[in-house]
Amino acid sequence: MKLYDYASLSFASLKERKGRTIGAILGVMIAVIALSLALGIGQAFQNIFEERLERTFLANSILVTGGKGFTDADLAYFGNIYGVRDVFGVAVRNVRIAQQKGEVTATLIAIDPRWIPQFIGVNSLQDFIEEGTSDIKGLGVIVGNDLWKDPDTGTKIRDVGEIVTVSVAGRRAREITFYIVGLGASTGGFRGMGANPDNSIFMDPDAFFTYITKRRVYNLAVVVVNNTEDVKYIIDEIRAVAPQGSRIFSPAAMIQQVSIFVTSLQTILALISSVGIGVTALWVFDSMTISVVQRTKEIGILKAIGYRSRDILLLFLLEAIFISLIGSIAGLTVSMIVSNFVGIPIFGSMVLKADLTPTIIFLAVILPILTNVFAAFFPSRRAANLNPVEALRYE
Amino acid sequence: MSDKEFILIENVWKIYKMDTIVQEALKGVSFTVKKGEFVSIMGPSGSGKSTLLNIIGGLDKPSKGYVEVAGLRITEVSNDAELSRYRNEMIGFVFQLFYLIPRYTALQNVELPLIPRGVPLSKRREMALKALKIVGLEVKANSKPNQMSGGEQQRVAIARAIVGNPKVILADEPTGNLDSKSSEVIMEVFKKLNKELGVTIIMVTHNLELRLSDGKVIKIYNKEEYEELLETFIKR
Repeated sequence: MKLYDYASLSFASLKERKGRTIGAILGVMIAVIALSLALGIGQAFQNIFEERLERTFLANSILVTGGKGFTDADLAYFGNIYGVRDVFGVAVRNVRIAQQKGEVTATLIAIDPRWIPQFIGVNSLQDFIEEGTSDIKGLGVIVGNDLWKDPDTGTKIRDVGEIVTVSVAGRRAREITFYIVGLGASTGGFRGMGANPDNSIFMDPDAFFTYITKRRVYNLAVVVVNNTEDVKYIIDEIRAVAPQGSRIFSPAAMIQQVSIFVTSLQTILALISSVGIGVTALWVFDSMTISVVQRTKEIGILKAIGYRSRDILLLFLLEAIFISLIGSIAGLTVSMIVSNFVGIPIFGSMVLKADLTPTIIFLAVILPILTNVFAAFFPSRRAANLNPVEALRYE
Repeated sequence: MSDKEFILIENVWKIYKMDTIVQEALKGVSFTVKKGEFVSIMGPSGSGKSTLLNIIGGLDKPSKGYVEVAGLRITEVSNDAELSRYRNEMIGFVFQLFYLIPRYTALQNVELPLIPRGVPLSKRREMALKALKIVGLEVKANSKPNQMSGGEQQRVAIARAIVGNPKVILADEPTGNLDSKSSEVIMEVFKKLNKELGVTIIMVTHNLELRLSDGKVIKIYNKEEYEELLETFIKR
């Protein structure tokens, strides 16, 4: 008996019971939509979250803050630890800046320009500098996107070569005037260590320690490691040499924790949505059980004319496979359409769309088939093992 | 195996046990059937005629006894695949209630026994049409059972039984559900199959008139019951 013949007999039987077949297919379809979208949204969430975290928190870095800050000597200590690739310090100060719509708070960031890409999570300086240069010696500064371009209209409100005056608060409150050497591209907001590059002014550390504060102390030390697997060991070494009161923060470990959390969330979503698959499997079990009872005489006839128990088993199992396959394909089609056109807004400007990876598509097809075949197996086996004489006598 | 003992039934018993109730459906039945013979088995209801047919056809097992068909000791076969092949290739069943599958056309119903053999679709169609032609129903090939009379349905069932060229046809009261005219047509079909194709036929029937006028071998396995029936029939 060829597979085509099995398939055609099973299909004819499904066609005869149109109502119940369509019901079962719809059930599988809904379950597949729920499962694939839950997994797809979880996947998309994980992708965005990980990418966002890696860019925001410098995944291959260890951040040291707190205490009384870090001197160049402290940075040198950190730099001598085995496995450390680079170390740089960042000093930060909040300032007020006059804009067209009034005064706003901006962040003055003192950082060596070669570390800007690492700090804000871009590949190179060229990716960040939209106009001008990155040469921020003396009072030359790079201004963030929101400070030179009106966020509402997109019109340029400052340009390269112009001056910008900021108010520094504190004991020695005063106004300082910088000149703009570069205009920063939009980075999408929140990035390195909570600083928003779009709302920041990047300046030379030497100038910062001359005009803003006299104490050459960095608020933040960023230790870049060669290998993220060494992070734990390097943290222990930093703890040994860091000034008292320092807090050590490992983005890599945090990203790992967040990843575990997102994966767990994805698993929970998948489990909740797989309830649908369980309900469909129960439906298939029920439908098959009724079908076996209704077709008892037919099973007897088939056995009398020479069909083996194995043939009967396969005929019934194929019905479950057909239902699952049609339902899965239809469900996946709907999920694909939904994932392309419907998005969930997150992180303000971003839209989360279900990411139907090949693994998710495979799972969304194979899971309903396996569970439904499992559910159909018991009534099918009962059909296959029916005594032909009793089956023929069944009324 | 000789042609004289094409079918050998030896001391076959069938005992049904249900809790404390024991019912003997067959009590040591023995007989032989020659190749190409047309045999009628007669007896009252509940005398085990259908049970005997089911045992010969490999659908049921005797509680005791020995059955051999065309050299195959079927009482010793317990493997499902082997028994199924025996039913498919050696036996053709015809039942009183036709037992056609309603969703299939006459042609598709007749094709059914050829599917487990792996016969390709085009060949199946050809063989099924030939079988329908033998029973004179090729014009109804595309009709479904509910579009046919009882007699026509039974002829389709006979076509299904003969489509695979079986060695034996087992007919369980094939005219029991038909009017006299249709019964005659069916009997003519059986006679034709027996005479022209040489198929061995074992038929269970209540219809004494049909059997006696036929003048073929009649096997009696419940003598007392049969004589009583015969007496009633002759007096009528």
